[in-house]
Amino acid sequence: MIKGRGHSVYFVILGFLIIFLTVLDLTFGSVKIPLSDLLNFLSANGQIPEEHLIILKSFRIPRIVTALLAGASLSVCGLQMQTLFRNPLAGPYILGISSGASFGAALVIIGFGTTGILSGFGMTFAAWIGAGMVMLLLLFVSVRIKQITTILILGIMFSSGLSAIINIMQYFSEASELKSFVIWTMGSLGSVTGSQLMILSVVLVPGLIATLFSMKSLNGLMLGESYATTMGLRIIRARTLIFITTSILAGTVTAFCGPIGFIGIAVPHITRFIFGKSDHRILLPATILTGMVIMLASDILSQLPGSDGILPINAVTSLIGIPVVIWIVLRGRKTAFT
Amino acid sequence: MIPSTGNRKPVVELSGLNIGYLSGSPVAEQIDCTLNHGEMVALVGRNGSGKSTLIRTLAGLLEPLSGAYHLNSVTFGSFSVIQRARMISFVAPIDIQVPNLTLSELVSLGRHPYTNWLGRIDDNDRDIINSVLEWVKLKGYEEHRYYQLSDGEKQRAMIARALAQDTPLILLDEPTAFLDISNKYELIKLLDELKRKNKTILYSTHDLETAWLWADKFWVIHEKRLIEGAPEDLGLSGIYDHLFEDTDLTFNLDAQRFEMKKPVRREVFLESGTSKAHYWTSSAFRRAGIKTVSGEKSSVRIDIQSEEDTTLWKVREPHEEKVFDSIYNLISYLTSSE
Repeated sequence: MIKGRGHSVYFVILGFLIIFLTVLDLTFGSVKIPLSDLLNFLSANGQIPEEHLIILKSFRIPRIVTALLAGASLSVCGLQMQTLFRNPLAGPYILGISSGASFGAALVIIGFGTTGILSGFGMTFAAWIGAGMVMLLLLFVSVRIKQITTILILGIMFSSGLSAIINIMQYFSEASELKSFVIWTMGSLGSVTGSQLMILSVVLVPGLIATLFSMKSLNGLMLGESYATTMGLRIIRARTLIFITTSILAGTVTAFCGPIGFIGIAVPHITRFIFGKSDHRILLPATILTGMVIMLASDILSQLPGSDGILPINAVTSLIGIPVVIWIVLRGRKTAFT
Repeated sequence: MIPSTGNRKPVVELSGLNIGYLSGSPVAEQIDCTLNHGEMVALVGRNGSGKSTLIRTLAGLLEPLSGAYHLNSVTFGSFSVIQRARMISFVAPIDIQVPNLTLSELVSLGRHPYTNWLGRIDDNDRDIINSVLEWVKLKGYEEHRYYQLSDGEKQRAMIARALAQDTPLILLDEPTAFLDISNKYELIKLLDELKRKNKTILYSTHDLETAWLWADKFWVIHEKRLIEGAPEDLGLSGIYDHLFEDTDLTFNLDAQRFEMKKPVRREVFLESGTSKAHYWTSSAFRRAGIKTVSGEKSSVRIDIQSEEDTTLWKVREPHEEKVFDSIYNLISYLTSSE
């Protein structure tokens, strides 16, 4: 646990970890790319084998950028939801964002029976629209209902309702459609390439920057809405910004990568444990960086270093996240919400 | 002749105020009262009488149903949330639960209405935080976690947060509710010191005995109405006799407190005396429901004989005579042989 201004050390360590893991992730995989090739690639005029160039440019770099953005986005959404709802189990998907995205994806895959590569962009777009619809509904509700718990319950109910509809769609679907959809729900960082990566970055980077404007409100909201109001916080306005950034970040990540579980719930806890802080001016940027580190580590593990196989990212994020959270909850009960 | 009033400046003026929740009938009606600058007012009334509702209305957390609420002679509704936060601070009765929160983080939240969009704490803010920590005697506890503090310290920490908000008016909802007697007095003494520092204080309480000694004025809510006045004015008006009319409580004018009406289990004659033993014996009789009557009315006579450090109680009944060496034994004999 750290005191005073010692937290800058942790920021530096996280920064180094991100660089280290990025290099590791670029070199490892089914094809090993030597560090010398990587350095040549970076120096711009260096020579590297053609196939390595293609692997780096078309596969690994897009996948790593996606991992960094998705890790940061989901984690910061989880932090915002945990503080807003003052609930340790809240995560980016608690409002039904991922159910909305899944519904959109299911509609394209199962509803219209489109499979294969052609369905890629259509599915992403539909998932995005699905998440967006949930967001609009949420905002419509949140400016009318003051009680935050009511909104939480409505979010969960709405999400369950959509899941039920998706279940019905799955029940009546063809085997091949069902498989495409199930694979989508397992998450993938590798399917975002080219123009999609551009869109992803253009949405997520400003979205992440926008969360910085919620740091002060989140601090106010920590003590609950009564205190926040009497401290001069405009609750509805603050809440709207938090809902919009969460919906856009989580919705976009889900649309492009599928619903990636666990990161959003686990990373804020891990960050709180490392930094020992409650001040969101430190916690929020720290969560963004920790999210990047954890997502990169998950990506490396999902490549099963030393083999040709690949694991679904969703399974990896859960498998490495669960023990960490259990350990934190058991060891430092008081540092988490209890 | 028109009665004169003091010449203190009113901070809060309520006239014809109806308070409550939008659905349902008002919790309290036609409230007319004044809170003057530099006063400490205790808001008393039974559970559910509307004390919290009134405090939350004054804090701006609930809209008044109708009537006028003036703060510093201006309609409260015309102030923005930020303006309100610079005039009124609020301390809620519920314990807060925030992971990692340190005392200095908690108190610095009080600076919320004055900081920029990032919530930056500057040197001036830091000076204020340091001085309020001194006022509440928590200097040196800055890096302690909130959950590590004792109940008394927690309550003082919450008051420090309110003080950091630097408002002329402080509203506290049951600040002494969970405190033991020494912490209770400590807290009321602190409020009294704040009053001397020109703060105006309204606090709700069930603890009349402490309030009696320290409050400048009582606001009593009884049967949906608010009656104000010095504690003694209200005593003169007889309101205390009505406050718990439908219960077993009765107002003891000598002790200035409410006491349980106990069924009389026995009548005895206790020879009069002024010794310590006599005082404690009478007190035990009250507790046990034994009424002392004059000699002719009771066939049981009790004499107390004190010699150096031994005291004996002699009970004389028509057919029996017994001696006891402790109040406990005396009482158990008298109450068992009914």
